[in-house]
Amino acid sequence: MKCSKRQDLVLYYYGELEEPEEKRLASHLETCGKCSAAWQRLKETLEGLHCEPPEMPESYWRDYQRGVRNKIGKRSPRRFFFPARPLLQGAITAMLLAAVATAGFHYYRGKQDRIMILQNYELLSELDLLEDFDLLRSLEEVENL
Amino acid sequence: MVQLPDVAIIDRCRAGDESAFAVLVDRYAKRAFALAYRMTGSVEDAEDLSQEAFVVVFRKLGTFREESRFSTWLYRIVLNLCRRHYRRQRLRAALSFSSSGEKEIQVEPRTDETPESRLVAAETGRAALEAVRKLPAKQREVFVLKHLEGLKIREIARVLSCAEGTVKAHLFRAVRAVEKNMEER
Repeated sequence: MKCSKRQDLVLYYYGELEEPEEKRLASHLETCGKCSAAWQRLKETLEGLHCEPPEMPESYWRDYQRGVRNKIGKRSPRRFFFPARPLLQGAITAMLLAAVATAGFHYYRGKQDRIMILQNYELLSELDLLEDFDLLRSLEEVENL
Repeated sequence: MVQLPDVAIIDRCRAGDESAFAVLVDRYAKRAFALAYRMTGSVEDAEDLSQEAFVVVFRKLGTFREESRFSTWLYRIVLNLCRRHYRRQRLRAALSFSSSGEKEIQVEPRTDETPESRLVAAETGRAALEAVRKLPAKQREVFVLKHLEGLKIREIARVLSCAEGTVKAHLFRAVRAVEKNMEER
């Protein structure tokens, strides 16, 4: 068998080779001195590198939980405005939609009223103009006399 | 509730059950803390970053898609926060003109061991953390997830949202760099 690639040794160490390849490599390591030495070096290096986090007492994890809750409390004021109860959320959403719809309706009606006033104003100014025409005609008639 | 699967607990969290969220934190606190500790080498930073990760989980639980595992999602969040932490450290170091903004590695002793074994554990732990710290960001993440957290390459690819081949490439480079680093010691 051909000598193994370094990458295969790494995958072999971590148990990431497929079964036939793993068996082939294991038997190769028994017969090839060069690969066996490389394997031993790699194994020693990686086995020597372990880092367990410090063991914390139970009280630490209780404080940890409290810490998480405090951080959430500080960062999410939206929870006060929007409680996480589906029924209440639905009710608040419905009320907000109703308020928006009412405001929209009033705004629309107000706009219509404003249009009506403007139209009336234009009509009135046209009446003034008509009156002016009448006056001019009357003046002409007086002049003709 | 403690026996319920993650999916059921997450559903309860989404419905506003705060005790369900406490169970979720309880279940994953040690793992999130360990990952952050192995990435930073500091107990204070590990505590802060892992707690931050749970704040993110709380706020973004609505966006969590159940086709991936909760632990995968949590690991991704912790790693993102660690990346941000490293960036800030580097920026702080650059602004203060110091050679390194990173803290001196202090490996805390475990309480259940003899003084001798504690010393050995602290030494190997320090060596591991120093070796990890010298790696470039992506290699560091892959090495920590593979070598120290024991995740499968397939899982790491999911956590880092990349191809398995990319994970393998980073792993090979990381192992080579670690070996080189250990030879120089």
